[in-house]
Amino acid sequence: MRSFHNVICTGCSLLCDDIQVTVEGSHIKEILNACSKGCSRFVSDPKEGRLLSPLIKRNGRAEKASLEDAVKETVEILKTSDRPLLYGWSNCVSEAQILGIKIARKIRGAIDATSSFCQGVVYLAACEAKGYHTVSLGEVFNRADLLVFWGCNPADAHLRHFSRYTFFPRGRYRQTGFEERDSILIDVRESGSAKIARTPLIIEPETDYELIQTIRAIIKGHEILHGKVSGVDFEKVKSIADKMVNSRFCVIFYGLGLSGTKGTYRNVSALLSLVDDINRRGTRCAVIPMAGHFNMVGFNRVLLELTGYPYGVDFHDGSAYWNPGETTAFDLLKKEEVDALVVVGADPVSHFPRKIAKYISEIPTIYIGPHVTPTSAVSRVSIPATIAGIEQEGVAYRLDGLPLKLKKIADPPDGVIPDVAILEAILKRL
Amino acid sequence: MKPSPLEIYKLLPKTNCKKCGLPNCMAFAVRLLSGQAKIEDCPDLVEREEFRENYEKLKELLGERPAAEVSLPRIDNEEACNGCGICVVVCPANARADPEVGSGKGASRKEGLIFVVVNGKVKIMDISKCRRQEDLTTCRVCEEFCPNNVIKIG
Repeated sequence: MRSFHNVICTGCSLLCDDIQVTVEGSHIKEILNACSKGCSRFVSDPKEGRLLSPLIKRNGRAEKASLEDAVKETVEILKTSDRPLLYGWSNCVSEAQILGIKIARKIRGAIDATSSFCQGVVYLAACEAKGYHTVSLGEVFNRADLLVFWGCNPADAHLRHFSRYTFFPRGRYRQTGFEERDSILIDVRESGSAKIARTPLIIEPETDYELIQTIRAIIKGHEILHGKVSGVDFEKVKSIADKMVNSRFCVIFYGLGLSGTKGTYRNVSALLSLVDDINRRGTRCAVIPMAGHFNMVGFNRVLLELTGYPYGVDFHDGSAYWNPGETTAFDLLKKEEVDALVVVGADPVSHFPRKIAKYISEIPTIYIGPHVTPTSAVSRVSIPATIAGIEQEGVAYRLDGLPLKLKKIADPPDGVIPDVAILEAILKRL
Repeated sequence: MKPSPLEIYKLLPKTNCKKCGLPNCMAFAVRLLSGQAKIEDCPDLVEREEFRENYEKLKELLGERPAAEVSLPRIDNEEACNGCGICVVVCPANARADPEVGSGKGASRKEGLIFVVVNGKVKIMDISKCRRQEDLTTCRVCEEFCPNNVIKIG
């Protein structure tokens, strides 16, 4: 029996680094401190739902093949393709993401992650709002005295967000923890987080933009003529604006409830401007997007470093080209431009609309990942990979952009190799 | 009306002799009030003549009160627990036992702590550390902040 301390959990983008795991043989016996979401990732049965050998579909039937043949078939598909797309990357380590970008550059394909319709829009918004103020989660629990949760529900999505990083921990300058903090929840419904937030504010759906701009107007001292804003009494909105300005360190967390509704990145750019306004009034204020998959932020950071663009980059003319709405995975698949698809660490058939899922099943698709998914079922080639953070080490980025080194704590099933090795083999043959 | 601990303290010998097994007379007053101690636990009060009057007054003040049961936190609905760990961090006794737990970091050991998250579910390990029992406070933070109403007191 072996015990591992300070293991990093890859259940969500919080990447909690205080997990203790006891392993007996290759079986994980006990997990301390991980939430149920993280636990389900650790204790998944190696035989259940795992892809254990490479599969190649011939005449509509998937047949077992050697890794060599699967890589050969993949290279063949990519070489004959005119407009390949490499998609996924949010559930794999950054080393694999770098290799993915290298392959995309080499085959003159497009590369995109799940962040193009998730929290990647913060980069688009930051272009409009001329950058944005952000902080690390460590600074949040040591200093923040006002937490605003806008269109997100950490109590159900990022389970240890309140207890490990934001509201409850006793920090260096907030020594009594939650007693010294105030919290505001802005959402369209009374979600699970409403019990923890001291001031829940329930607004009408798709009215976030006008609420943000009203708060900005109040902060700038303009007169507001309407009695109600977003279905909320003006007095209540004013009290929230006052709380934001009068706090010492305000941190705003926003989720898809803001960036995925009407207005999308415009909502986010208005929020970034609001944060800027609060900072100009002398109150320290920052914003952190609530990313979902464990290394979604990592892909944005890696792609920004290597190409200058955060997501949805197209190398069709040899150089990096970014135009959201044209080069993003969703739009390329919707317009049926793609003639070969490589999926690494994602499941687009489950998540995309039915029409696109059907299109994916019609084009040659290569799936690289640890589990049997609807995408692997429709893929021409499926190659099994190890699970990052459990059977494979590597680097992942936390939702505040902090890179952390994942550990290997258990052995993978026989014959299963990391996605990094598979991508290296593909790159070598191209 | 329920007397205050200070009212009871005023009628005690105030010598902090520790004969009752408690560190001082104020602690004895609190235990008397909660029904966890009897007046007869203080030998001076019963035997010494100068405290006879106070002894009678105390008996009258406290009356024939049955020993109160201290209600402690219990896990009511384990199925609903998602292991968020709010109870682990928010519990003052947990933070006292391991300051790192109080600052948000997960428990490094299971012993000596009240709440620990094991395999994604909260477990009560050492309830004797609970402030409701040890210091006789009315602390209910674990019940108050549990988002899924898993922890119940009483």
